[in-house]
Amino acid sequence: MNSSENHDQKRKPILSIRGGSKRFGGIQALDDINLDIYGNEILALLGDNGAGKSTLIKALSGAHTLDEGEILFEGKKVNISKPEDAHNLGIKTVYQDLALFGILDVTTNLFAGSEYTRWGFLQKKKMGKEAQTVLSHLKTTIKSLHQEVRSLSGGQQHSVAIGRGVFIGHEPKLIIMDEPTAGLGVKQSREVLRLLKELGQKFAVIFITHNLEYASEVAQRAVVLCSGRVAGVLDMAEANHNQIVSLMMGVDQVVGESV
Amino acid sequence: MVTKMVRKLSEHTNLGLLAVTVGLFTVMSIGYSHFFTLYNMEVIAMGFIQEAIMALGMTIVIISGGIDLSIGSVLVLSSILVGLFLKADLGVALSIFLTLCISGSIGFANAVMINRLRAHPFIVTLGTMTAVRGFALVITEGHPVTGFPKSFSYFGQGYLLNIPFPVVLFIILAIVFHILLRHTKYFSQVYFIGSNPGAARLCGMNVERFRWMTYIISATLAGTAGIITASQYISANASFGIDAELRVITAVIIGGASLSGGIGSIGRTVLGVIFLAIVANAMVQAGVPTYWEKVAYGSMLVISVVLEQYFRFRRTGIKDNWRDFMLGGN
Amino acid sequence: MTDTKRSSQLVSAALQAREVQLLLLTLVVVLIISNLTPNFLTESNLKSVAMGMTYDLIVALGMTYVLILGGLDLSVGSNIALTGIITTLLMQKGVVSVPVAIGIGLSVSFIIGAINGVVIAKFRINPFIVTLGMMSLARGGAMVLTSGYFVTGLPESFLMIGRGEIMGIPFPVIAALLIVIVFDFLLKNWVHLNRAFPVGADPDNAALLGINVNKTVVLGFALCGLFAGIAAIFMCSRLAMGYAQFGLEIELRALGAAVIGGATFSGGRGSIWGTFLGVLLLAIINNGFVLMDASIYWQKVVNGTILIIAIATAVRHSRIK
Repeated sequence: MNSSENHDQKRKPILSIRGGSKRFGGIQALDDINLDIYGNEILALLGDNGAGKSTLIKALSGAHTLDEGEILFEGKKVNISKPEDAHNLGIKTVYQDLALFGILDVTTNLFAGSEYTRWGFLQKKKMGKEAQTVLSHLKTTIKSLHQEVRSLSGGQQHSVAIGRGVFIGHEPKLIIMDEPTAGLGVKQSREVLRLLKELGQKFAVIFITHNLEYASEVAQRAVVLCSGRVAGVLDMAEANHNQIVSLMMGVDQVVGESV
Repeated sequence: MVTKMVRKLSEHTNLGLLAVTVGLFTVMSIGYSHFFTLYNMEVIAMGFIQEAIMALGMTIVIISGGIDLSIGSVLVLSSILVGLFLKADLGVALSIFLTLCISGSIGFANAVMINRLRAHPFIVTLGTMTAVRGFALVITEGHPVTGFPKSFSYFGQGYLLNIPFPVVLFIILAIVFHILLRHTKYFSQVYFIGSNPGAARLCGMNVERFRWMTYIISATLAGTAGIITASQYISANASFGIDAELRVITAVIIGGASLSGGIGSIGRTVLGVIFLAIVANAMVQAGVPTYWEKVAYGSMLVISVVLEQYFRFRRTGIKDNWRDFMLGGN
Repeated sequence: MTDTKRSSQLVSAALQAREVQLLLLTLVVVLIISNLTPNFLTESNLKSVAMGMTYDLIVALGMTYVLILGGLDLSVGSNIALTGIITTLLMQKGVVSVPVAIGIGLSVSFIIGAINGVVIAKFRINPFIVTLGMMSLARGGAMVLTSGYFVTGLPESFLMIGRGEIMGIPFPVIAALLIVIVFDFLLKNWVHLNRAFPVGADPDNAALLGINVNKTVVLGFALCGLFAGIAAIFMCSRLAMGYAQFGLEIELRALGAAVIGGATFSGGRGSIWGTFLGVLLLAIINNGFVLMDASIYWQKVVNGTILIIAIATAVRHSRIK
């Protein structure tokens, strides 16, 4: 596709997957995946249920390992075999189910796994301050940082998950957002999209969604997965809905449409 | 032809365990002249009969995704209660009936608490295990109950067609539960409920009500084992049935049931019971000090669950999520 | 906001804390028992209560930790028996010096716990069944080593550990209190122990965030074993022997105390000072039974019932979803 050729001429990808494959028992979840993600862009990852989106995300975030193929990060071959590896590279994921600890307080949720320590001891004051900063940056008001997360509203819980995924711990280079608008109302979804755009100015973002409208609003490019394969890479400025849907469904081309 | 038979057999039983059992039996028969005698066969059967009877109930509980640690305590309480009822001249039939009712109601209480508190059955039955054994100690003040009528001894010591009565009872119960689990619509629900209670509920099965049934069966069978024990010894003693739950769970798991529910059968449990009964007897025959028993049962329990888990992982390639096996609500 | 209003808010907040509620409950129980019997508030009785709860307390700390992890350990009582037997046998035979024997004993207890943890984490098996097996195995091991006999004739220097007093307070009591203070501090502030909270609250999420769940679980169970080993050293030293029946049912009392103190079976919760108060409350109630000549068998019923009640209250706090 000429759109990605343009990118190649301009700059190098921050992350590339070459020939990524993954099997579960008899099911080929990913089949020879090749894709590139560049800095300062939002890449929408589209596909029907079971297309392999979440397997791909898990391979990048360290929850699964690929059976075959390699991952290049900033031009170097890397091995992501556990979540820690992804964190250390700066690949941060905001999971669809948010992966929060309901019975623990806000600060603990924000810093779990990336605590500030000195000689192994927690720096609670520093974490408290940082938590305030992050939450105010996300324009969220939470009464007390000692509140249990399960007592927060849906939107507030989203903010905590995004705050943790993006602003806490290692400096992010690539942010993966797994269906960040799922289960949110229109107003809160707009807020998330605004944040996404803002993040896209600074980092590489992979945005997984079912909602084509949202995808075309914020993303520059889209990768469409179908039955574990890359069905197409599109420039969002040029693509239209029918074209994307036909790729997602695995139909070759809708008659009368051309790139 | 042979492979077809093997496949057919493997549907009903645990082939690996069958081979080990036959092997152990052969080795013992060749090595020890006192092993393969009619008398010793009776000793083997009677030495593990309480556990065997309780294992039938435990099988249903474990397939349904639960566990019952209170059976050893129910056994004790029932042996004491039947003794006290008999001494109060209630007559054999009524005494047994009352004892079984009380045992069953402990199982009912277990199920109600598991349902209501949404607590893990391990924890609930651990609580009843302590409380019931404590209660047995309170009513006897630690003394044995003795002086049962002669007629009562039949249940533990009598013979039917030259076979000890408890063994006959076990065989009948095993056949009955086998048929119930395999061939009745109601009882075969246990496999659905055990493998996915949420889905079973969506299909209209009453999981809570079914749980009543499983724990009542388990406790009533423990009560039956208690009555047989009391009849065998013509006395009852608060130290009966210690560690019984451990041996019973080991038998069921070795037989091939899965602690995560949904897998297991009466046939497999019977094989597990036979295996442990032979092991127990073999240790005596080989002159292993009795202190080793605890070591043997403990390690067999752990090894059997580890193997079960290992083969499951090999089969499916999927490692359990932590959520699926750590404690927490159900 | 007026001062009175603020102070009343502070009081009501304090009353919500599990520890404060427990403290008040304990005071009420003390008042009742000391009214019923004059023998309660005597120096010798209080000393025996303190000494009697020491073993339970040390074991309950480890139990609290594995409960926070979302597990539980039924093998602590057997661990006490086996560790005690190995330590005392080594000293009795004069194979090694006293400190080395204690070192070996503590290592054994740590390893027993670590084996629990490895089997649980590596094979993903419910901690209940693993520690139930270990409970039988370790107790059996203790019996095999001694054939059921006492191990006596221990060196005087070892006996001093349990019998020594500082300002009239038995040394094991002081040691247990120190352990409580240090462990509470470390649990709250040391990252490697503190991670038990996210791991227990949701192990799968913790793994996604790069926390090494396996390591945390194995370390937690090993630590729980080590606490049982420490209790075993004090017990053998105080009672001047090793015995295969030591520590029977201590796991139930430890569980009860930890749950009363605010730990739940679903993990992610638990407090060291709460557990301390739980052990204290149980010890005082049991002591009351002894002083009032109630059947010791009632204690078993009471312990079982307390466990059930504690579960009933603990479950209300368990995790949503």
